[in-house]
Amino acid sequence: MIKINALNKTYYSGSPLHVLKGVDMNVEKGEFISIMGSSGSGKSTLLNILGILDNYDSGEYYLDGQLINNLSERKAAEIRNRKLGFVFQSFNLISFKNALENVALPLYYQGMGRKKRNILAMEYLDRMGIATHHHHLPNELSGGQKQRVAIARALITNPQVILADEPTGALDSKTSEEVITLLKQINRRDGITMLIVTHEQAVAEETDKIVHIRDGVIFSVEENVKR
Amino acid sequence: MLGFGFDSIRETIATIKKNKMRTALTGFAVAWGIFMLIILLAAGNGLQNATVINMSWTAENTVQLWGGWTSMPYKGFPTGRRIRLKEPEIEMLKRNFPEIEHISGAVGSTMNISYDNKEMSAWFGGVDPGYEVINNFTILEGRFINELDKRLRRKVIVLHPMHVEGLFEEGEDPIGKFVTINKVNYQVVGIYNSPNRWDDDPDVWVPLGYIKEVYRHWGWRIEMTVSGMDSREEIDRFNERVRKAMGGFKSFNPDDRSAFGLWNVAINSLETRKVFIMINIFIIIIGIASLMAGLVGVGNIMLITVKERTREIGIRKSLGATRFSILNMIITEAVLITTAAGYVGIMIGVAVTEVAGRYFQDDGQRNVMFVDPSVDMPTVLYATLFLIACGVICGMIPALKATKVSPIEAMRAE
Repeated sequence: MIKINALNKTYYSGSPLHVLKGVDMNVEKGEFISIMGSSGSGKSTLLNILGILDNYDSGEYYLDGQLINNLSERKAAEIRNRKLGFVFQSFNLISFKNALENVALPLYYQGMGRKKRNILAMEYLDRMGIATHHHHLPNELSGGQKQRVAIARALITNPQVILADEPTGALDSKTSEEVITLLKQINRRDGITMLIVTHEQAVAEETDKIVHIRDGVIFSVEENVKR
Repeated sequence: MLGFGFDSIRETIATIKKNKMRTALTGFAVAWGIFMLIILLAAGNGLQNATVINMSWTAENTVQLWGGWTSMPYKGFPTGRRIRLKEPEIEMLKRNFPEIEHISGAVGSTMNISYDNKEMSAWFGGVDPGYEVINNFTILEGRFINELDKRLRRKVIVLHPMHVEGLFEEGEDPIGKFVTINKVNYQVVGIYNSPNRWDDDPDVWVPLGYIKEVYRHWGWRIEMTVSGMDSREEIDRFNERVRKAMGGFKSFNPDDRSAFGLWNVAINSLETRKVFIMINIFIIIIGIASLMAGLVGVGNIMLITVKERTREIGIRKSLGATRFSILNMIITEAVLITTAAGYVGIMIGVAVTEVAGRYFQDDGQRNVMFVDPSVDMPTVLYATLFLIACGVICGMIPALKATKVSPIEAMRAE
């Protein structure tokens, strides 16, 4: 599903910062993987490149067999919309839209009609178990509920890969557990490939494979034996 | 294509509705700018209208001459000699001053006019054709005295509506009727109105040719309009030439200011023109100032808006929004808000000027300070379009910047 070879990325703000120094990684369809590393290790940069939110300097990145390199603005937006789903630490819900509207938003960018996307959004909210809160604004929801809305939004386009950046970073341990369980269920049931960037050991241990990043290279890949 | 459809407008309207404060501030800036523009332009126009009316009692290039007494001995003539201006002087002026457009003598006195059993008094004046042009008369009915009247010494008369009201029955057509003045019957040929606001007691006019014998011993007032008096120098030169010509013709010292009177209205007109220029500059400055105020308001708010929305833009991008769709959203929003607000501003502004216009109406009689404060609609529409364009541009520059930021960075923004 994801295949990257010798990926390099340097940031040139001020003094050049070589963040990714030849990353190789292979993710099969349906895998449930965590990426661990200390801050500054390059894990967020890797996730941004995987999410086509950022460009890379050299190497290759194939998503679903398609080479992702120098895509046009529109093409990148379309791939983000159709193939990828994002879950963020800070939820990134639009504050003036209620839960239902937030979930339906990716479908708006697909050009789907309002009625249809609201029905679908309701369905996904129901799956996350928060259908009763569909008319609440983000600031009326708890952290766990917000992350469920964000997950519903990531899932609604039926993506092939979900990229989660510290999805439990802003949650207490009990809620974290619930969210990870939910992500795992989605992975198991729908076979959606899932990449989770985290620095929490407890989260990483729930995944099938733990990729350790250190100083811009993949330091080790650990098959999760505890599972 | 996503972007221009009904759905995108609905999405924009939803965004506008849910950000009431922002919408209200942007809208207020535009509405206020337009409203102030209308009010101030209307005030300027009201002032200008009133000035035009107050200055229109005579043509702006009028010169008046009247006789006097000499105060300097000249070529053996003693002082205190009476100088009368009459037909020969008019003929002399016509000969020597080709720039004279219209010229008329005027002489008369207060008389009683009667018709049927009614009688009223009025200043009864004899004038030549052209007098109505020199004095900016409007002919309401019939005609003024013409060349034929002058030549044939016809007994015709031109009345003011006040005389019609005083002498005739309501609904009676005065044209063709005969009124009596000093036992002579004059046929009414026209009704005139004068723009002169200082005269509450309007005059009646008959051909000078007919009544000049009555006022045989009186001097005339000579009134004329003169072309080419556009600067102070030209006016002074003309006045000097008239003094010299008259002095030569009547044998008095051209420097003798009391031998005859000369009043050149063009000097006043020059001043008036300066006042108009000042008023226009005032209006233009006001217009620019209120547009600038509106522009700064709109620009500022659009700037803040986009800055505030950086995060939202990042989120939308991560969900598959293209730069185009985001720009489109922001511009649609700016256009919708500024157009609606501009409309509201126009409505309120025009309503206020309408009400004020009713209060500050010209009744055609009294002196006025402020008349019909209205605005030129195209000006207002252009101003509104200008503000809408400003809103779009002011929204677009930061929006372009915001859409260039990587979504990750945008989402990090607090």
